[in-house]
Amino acid sequence: MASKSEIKRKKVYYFMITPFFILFTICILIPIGYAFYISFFRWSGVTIESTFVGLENYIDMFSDPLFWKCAQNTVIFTAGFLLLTTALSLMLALALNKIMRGTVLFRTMSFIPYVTSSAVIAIVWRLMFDHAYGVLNIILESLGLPRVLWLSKDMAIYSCLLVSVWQNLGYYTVLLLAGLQTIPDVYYDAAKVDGAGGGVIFKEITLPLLKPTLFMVIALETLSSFFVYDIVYTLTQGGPGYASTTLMYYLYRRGFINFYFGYASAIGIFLAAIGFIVVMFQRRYIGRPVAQF
Amino acid sequence: MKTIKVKNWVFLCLVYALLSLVALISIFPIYHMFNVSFKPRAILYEFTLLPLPPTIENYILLFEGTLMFRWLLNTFAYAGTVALLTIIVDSMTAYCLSKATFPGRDLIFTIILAAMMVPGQVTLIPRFIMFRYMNLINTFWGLLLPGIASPFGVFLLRQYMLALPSDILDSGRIDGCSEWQVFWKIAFPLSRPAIATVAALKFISHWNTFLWPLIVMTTQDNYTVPVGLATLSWWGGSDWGVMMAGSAISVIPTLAIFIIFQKYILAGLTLRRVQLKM
Repeated sequence: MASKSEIKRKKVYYFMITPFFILFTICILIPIGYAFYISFFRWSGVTIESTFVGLENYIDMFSDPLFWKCAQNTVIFTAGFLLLTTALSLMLALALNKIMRGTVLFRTMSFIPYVTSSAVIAIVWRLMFDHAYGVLNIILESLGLPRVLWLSKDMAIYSCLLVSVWQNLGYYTVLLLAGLQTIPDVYYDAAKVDGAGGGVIFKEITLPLLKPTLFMVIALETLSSFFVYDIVYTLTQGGPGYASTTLMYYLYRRGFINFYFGYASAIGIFLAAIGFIVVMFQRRYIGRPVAQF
Repeated sequence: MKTIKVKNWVFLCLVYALLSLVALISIFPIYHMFNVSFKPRAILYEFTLLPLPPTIENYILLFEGTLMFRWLLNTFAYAGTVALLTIIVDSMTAYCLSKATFPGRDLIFTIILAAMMVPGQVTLIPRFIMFRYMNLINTFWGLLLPGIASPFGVFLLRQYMLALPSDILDSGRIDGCSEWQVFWKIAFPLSRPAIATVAALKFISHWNTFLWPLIVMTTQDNYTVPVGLATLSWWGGSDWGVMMAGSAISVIPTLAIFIIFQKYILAGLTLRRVQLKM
């Protein structure tokens, strides 16, 4: 009797889990496997015909100068993003942790860009970057500095970087601030009693205890900047030429403008492999899964 | 002693100055967007801090000349439906993975965790090809289905439900609730903070999301706001006044939701627990 109701009970669980599992299988699990399959084929245009070409897409990819140009842009972007965002958000989080009043207000204000769509943000920044009537050049000129061609060949990728750092700063500050707030005050009090200075306290207490959060932040930064796409699309269209095309945008162009699905999928596998390494690395040292919304 | 106090005071002033500067830089572009959107078209390109005299000319041009109204409706329907379906589908799953025991449970959770480690970008092209086979391209369902199966939503809700006291659920069972009622009448309402977090985050992220709507929606009248505005700004031939009006309108819903649900959103992003107010 009891076991019968027990079985009925367990049956309900399978029903409850089914909708998620079907969607998860169709939208995530199968595509992961299918991605490998596609990358071994050559797709002719928008038709559904494809021919098996083995590793040719991967060989093409590694001998494609545009791929390496985009890889170079992506590395510049990721390195700059990691460096700037980590340094600035750590500084901001420390400052927010110091003050008694206004933490919530400052936090809210710096977080607003993060909840705004990248597409919209890029449009506003394009107006501000304008050579003739953009705010940035007006400010530069009033300071007696020369105007800058923000979206020119040499500057475009750095302008994308600037906007991206501006947009994401609040998010990483919030993560680091949460980490700082978990450090018990007693450590600081004890250090002060022992006569430790600010620098020593930061190096010996704050930094080691913040390490798990800092590692998580760095992993998240790496993932989000390595796959940067929407800011580039809306701010520069990857241009001029390929001057600011990142790998993810290159994947989009090859896949959805030229319909080279096999080639684009090979780029996708390459990107995923790098992302996977970052996640594994992070998990090994912290053990908490990283996920982005 | 006194010099230390003065030194502290100066230091605090510097900290506040730095924070104010960052806050100002953070919101200036958003302000600038609203500012330009209300400017008379004659002085659109002159730099002024206030749009004087303010006008809604740009907004009229926006709604008359573009499909903005349609895009707003699409995006509301899209982000709203994803948020709603996600909290139902994900919370059912999270409940089973946290408060129930059945064969295969741990295997399912391991698969979900493993899939979370694969960057979503790799699934883009295969998913597009599969959806094309299933005739889901340029349809509402094609747009929103991938958003619902959210491993992060399940993860967040599961973390929260794990900490719910099992006694409460058991007392429901003793009172004769079926397992579905235990979930729907007890566990689900008790998880309100986590559900608010997931719903708010889902709404905001899908309101803003760009890549999937860009790929899956192929006709202008099916675009979401970010895709519509991006297309307009590159090929639409609209001027900055109209673009700024469109941008300004599009940030209002996410700003409102962020400000209202701020506590839950920040708790979710930092994976902290929000205390349930009874």
